[in-house]
Amino acid sequence: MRFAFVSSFLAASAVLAQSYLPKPGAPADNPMSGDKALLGRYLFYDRRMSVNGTQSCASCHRQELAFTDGRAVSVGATGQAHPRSAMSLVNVAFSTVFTWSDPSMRSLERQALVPMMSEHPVELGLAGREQGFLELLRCDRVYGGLFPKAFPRDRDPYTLDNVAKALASFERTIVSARSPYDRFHFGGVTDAISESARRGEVVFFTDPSAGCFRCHNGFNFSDGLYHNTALSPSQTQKFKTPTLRNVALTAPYMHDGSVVTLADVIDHYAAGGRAPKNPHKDQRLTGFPLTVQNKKDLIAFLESLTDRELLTDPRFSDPW
Amino acid sequence: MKPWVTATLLLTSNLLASQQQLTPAPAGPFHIAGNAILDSHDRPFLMRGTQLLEFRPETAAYDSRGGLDYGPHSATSLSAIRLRFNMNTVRLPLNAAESARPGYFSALAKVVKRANDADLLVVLAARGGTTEFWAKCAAYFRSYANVMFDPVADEHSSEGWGAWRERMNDLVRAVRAAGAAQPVVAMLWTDNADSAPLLNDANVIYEIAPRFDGPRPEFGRLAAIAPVTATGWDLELSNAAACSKLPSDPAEVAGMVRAFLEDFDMRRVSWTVSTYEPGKLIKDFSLQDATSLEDGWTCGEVKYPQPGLGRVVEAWLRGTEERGLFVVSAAGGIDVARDGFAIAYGPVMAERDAEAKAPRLPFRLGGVSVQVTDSKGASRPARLLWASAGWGQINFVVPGESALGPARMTIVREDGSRTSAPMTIAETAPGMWTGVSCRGPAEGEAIQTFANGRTVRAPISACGGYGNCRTLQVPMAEGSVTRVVLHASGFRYARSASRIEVTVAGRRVRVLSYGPSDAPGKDQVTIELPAGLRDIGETDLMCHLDGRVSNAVRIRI
Repeated sequence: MRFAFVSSFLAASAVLAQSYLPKPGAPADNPMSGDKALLGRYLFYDRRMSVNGTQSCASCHRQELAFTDGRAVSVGATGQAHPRSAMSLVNVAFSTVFTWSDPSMRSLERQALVPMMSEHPVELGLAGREQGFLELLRCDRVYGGLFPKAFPRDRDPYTLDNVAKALASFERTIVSARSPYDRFHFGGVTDAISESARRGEVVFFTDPSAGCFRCHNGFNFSDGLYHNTALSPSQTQKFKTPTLRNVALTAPYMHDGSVVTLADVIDHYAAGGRAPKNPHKDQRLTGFPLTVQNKKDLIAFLESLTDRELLTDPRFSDPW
Repeated sequence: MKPWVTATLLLTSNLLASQQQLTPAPAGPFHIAGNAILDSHDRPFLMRGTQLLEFRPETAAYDSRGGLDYGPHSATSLSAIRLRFNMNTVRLPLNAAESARPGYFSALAKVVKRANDADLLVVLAARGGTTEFWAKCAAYFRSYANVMFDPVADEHSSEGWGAWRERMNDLVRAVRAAGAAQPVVAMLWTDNADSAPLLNDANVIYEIAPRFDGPRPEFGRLAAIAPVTATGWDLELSNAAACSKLPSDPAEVAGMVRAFLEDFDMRRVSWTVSTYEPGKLIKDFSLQDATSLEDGWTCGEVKYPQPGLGRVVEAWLRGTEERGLFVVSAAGGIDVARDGFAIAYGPVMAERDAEAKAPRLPFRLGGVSVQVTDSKGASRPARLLWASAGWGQINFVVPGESALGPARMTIVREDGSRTSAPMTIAETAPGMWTGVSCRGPAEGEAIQTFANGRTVRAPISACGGYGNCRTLQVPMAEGSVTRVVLHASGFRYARSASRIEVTVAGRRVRVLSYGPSDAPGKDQVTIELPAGLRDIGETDLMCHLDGRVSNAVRIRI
């Protein structure tokens, strides 16, 4: 049974069955299928979802930027700025919590509805136009073939619930695991990454050198937990540890996009945070001594986590 | 040939190809034959060592400064040179002008004995020493089989090579006249060693001083006819001018160091590298970790994290990758005993820091396991005590059924990734337990037995957190017999107690019993302390077994 589940996931996923991939997650009421993921891909790139036809999910989650948008904070279809930076969607199949700061958001399907329905700020601006949008889908020739295949047991598959399920299914297929570091660490290809990146790996994974791995650990380089990273003296809120896969492409950094480069991120943590005296900051943010060489090597290591194939993989691209 | 035979041979040859080997301990007296240094069994001997800080009578007494730092000439430091760096030689610079001080040579002899007890050959070196100094020094140490003399004449004489050679001949004659027959190490005062005429004495090792910032000295012809040793070579990162000629890429510089080492190995040239001091071969005198090039450096400024070529040399002598896993015994040495503790340092990458509690040790800890593949190709899981998240250490027990000889340990993670390292399994590998990193206060229990049969037990050390350990006085009341049960590893397969040579303050003590203790991998060695050691204070405890030396640990009596 489990085998069948994993197989169907992998069939839907663009990445072949690397043995080192952890078991992906998908809820019992939304099992993975290739048809559903394909439908989700069309929806993901469909600008008609937005109130003025200008934006789709892909507007803030661009494939070439590892499914982020390159902005400090995202901007919705009506021009309103979001308070947070867009998180990468890669490897969400392996996450149990979503969004920067809401530990209760444990469903990717539920999360998919947030940007559609949000009014403060408006992101896609679908709230109040749901029926019209569903009617549009029902009348669309492309969707006419996709929805019934994706949800063959539903008498009326054109529901908002199914839109969210299809989007979540597509997002779960966005697996990033073909970086040079993967070839080095899992594949045993010793020259897959540079000497500098290999030195950076040691710094990354060593206490007290940098100890980044204390939060950025596991296959996805994230503990999936929430930490206060001392971005301001009064900050009390904690934010989720983002994945570091493709981190070289996901600038600017932090939940508020306030740190511009990877070098700045490293300096931030080496200093014990921008507000190192913040009494609420994570205990692990003690700072660490950093040499020029360490910093260069850490950056080389982080760059080795870039999965270039992901960026142009046609299975994740705009199908329209 | 049957397939399994071929497979076993292939596996064995693979193991041997990347195998680390214990650098042979000195077994003097030595003599020279052709271009080889031969030991007392006529076996060729190559020096692999480092230079110590200059000897002063005061430094001999620096042992444990508050239990955190060990002196440059302490047994602990010498033991680390032997075990951790797998070296067999130390070059000990002397200040000839100081030798007139009362007790100078007896204090020096203490350090020499410490080094010899740690299986290290000592090369006594003094620049500018007179014939009188060398006559005195050679007379004092002429019976020390594992000592050599390095009488350096003034290097920058304006009188030229011929005059320098004559002075060297005088110094060597002074050594011989004192009755010392050990080989003399003679510095060649020329960049072209191949063109230098040899000294009159036949028992001479010629010393070259290669540098990284200049042309390599020519010594190929010399090395073919006489033994050669390369001394004092270092990257000189604290010397802004010399350092500025080095490439800035750590990998490139490490490659230059390895090229030297490879060249010396190929030409069968002895060497003593750098200096055993913070900022040179080691980072500090506390943990005595090797310096690294990996963090980069600023020429002329040697500051945290203490850059240097230590890790490159250490990895070379241990037959491991500089950045890979490397395995040490409970003593910190290169050989590990079956059913003994071993520690692998490097990319462990457990899911979390995880510790198991003896006596029930698991095969999987923190999402990782360890497989030990022995010289016959058999793989067995090892029991684990500790596994670090990230780069750190994994402590494991070598499976007792393992065949002796070259082996390989492999860390297997849940994500399927693996990292492996060579190791050598021996029947015994004596190691004493301490609270931190194979050095410092010994762990164990003192048992005083009085005439009426009453016994009093007391621990011999206490720790208040990692690295914060201290010795406790071993009670030796009048009229009682004091035994000490030492916590140890790698002893249980010793053939008899008489083969276990335990010394306390350089004095051999009786071993009453030894064997497995109360947990996997843990042994005990019970010694009896003679009354003559009463109130000696904090001192060193070491052990020899089957040609291997243990770590030096501290005990207070």
